[in-house]
Amino acid sequence: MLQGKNIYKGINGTAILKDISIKVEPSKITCLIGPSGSGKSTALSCLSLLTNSTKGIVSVDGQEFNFDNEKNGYSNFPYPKVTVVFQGLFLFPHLTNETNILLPLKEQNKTSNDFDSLIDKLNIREVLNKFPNECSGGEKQRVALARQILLEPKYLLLDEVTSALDLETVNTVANILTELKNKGTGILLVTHMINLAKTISDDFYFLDKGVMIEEGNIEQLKKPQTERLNKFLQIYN
Amino acid sequence: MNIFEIFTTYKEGFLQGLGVTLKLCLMIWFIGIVVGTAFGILSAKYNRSFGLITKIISIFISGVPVIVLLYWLYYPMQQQLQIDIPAFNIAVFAFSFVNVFMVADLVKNAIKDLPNQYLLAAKVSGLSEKTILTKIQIPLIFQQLLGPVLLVQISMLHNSIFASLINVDEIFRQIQRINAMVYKPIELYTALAMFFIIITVPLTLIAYYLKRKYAKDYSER
Repeated sequence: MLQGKNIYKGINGTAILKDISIKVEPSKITCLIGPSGSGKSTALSCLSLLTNSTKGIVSVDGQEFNFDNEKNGYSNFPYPKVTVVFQGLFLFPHLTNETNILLPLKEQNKTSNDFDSLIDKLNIREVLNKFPNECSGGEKQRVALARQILLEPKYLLLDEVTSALDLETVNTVANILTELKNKGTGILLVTHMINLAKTISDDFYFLDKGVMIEEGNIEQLKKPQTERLNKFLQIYN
Repeated sequence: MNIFEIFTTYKEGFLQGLGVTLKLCLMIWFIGIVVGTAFGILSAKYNRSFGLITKIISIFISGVPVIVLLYWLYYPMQQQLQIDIPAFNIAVFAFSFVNVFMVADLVKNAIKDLPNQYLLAAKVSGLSEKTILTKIQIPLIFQQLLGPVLLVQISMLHNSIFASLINVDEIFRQIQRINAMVYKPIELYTALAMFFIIITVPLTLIAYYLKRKYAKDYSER
């Protein structure tokens, strides 16, 4: 299990995350929802140990990791066992989409049997030889997804990765994520697409102003326990 | 006496001046790029120690014209220290010194300007530090540096004529010397201009070629 316990993150004296705890379990899709500026992306960064939390502990399958202030990072954190698709995607701009996908695989000495099928499912074969800047936002999102999925991570953290996709492609991505979950991958999905979250997630966390307001089984979204979540969901209903 | 006759008559002087200018430039370019790159990397890595020193020197260099530095090293410094260094070596040192810190500044800024997110994306994709350096950082920094560094080298070539002022027998000084004998300023200085164009244009074309080859426009379309 990928777990963050009592994570507090302060920047310049302002609390961005206030002692939140979050779990990503294998074979489960957990969604993290909340309004803009609630701290969702920061929570994801802390959980993936890309950002140093001011307080709190992050553990992967029981192994705790501490921030190394000298290296400004975490030693021996198990990337890409835990991997992230960022909201900004960050495909390497000087490499073609194909190299963007294959370089990490080559580094891990992996040859993915799923390469062709995933490329076809995500409908990105035509853009493989293009550079990221020659692609649309949706194409880049799918390339970024393919890059991380083919690494076969145990924990996959996704930050708004469907924001530029049409509904048909969102559906395709939802199916791919469900397949990954069934194969044992633990997925954390940060999203504004409440319907997508309701469709594919098992559990949810609702974050507002850095505070974890509510969490539970996804069915709980039908009957929120807090007034704040209820009000938030009303916008989407 | 037309320009061809002048060239034929003073062939030796021209070739010597040409050779000295090219030797001077090659040394300035080599030292500037190699040492400047190393200093730039160290400045980015140790921003508060090494970086601060190079920053102070860069500010000093940008405030002092290179000709003043050249004169200062050639006349008062040697006089004070009671030493005698050949003018060519002084010129190599002065121009290389300026080139090193100009290149170092460019390298440091290119490293610092590289978006950290690419490094994070590489990290979460499981790329090793070596792969991140060789496949991500260096190519991205190289494409950003290519144009500015070549422009600095072209300006070094142009500045090299100042070496004539401390008696380095480079091309400008040889042209002046020949002109004193034949007095054909239009022909001779036009020829000098052509010489610089002949060297600068291929360099600029190489810069364009390298830019097209390695520094594609990666901005969003």
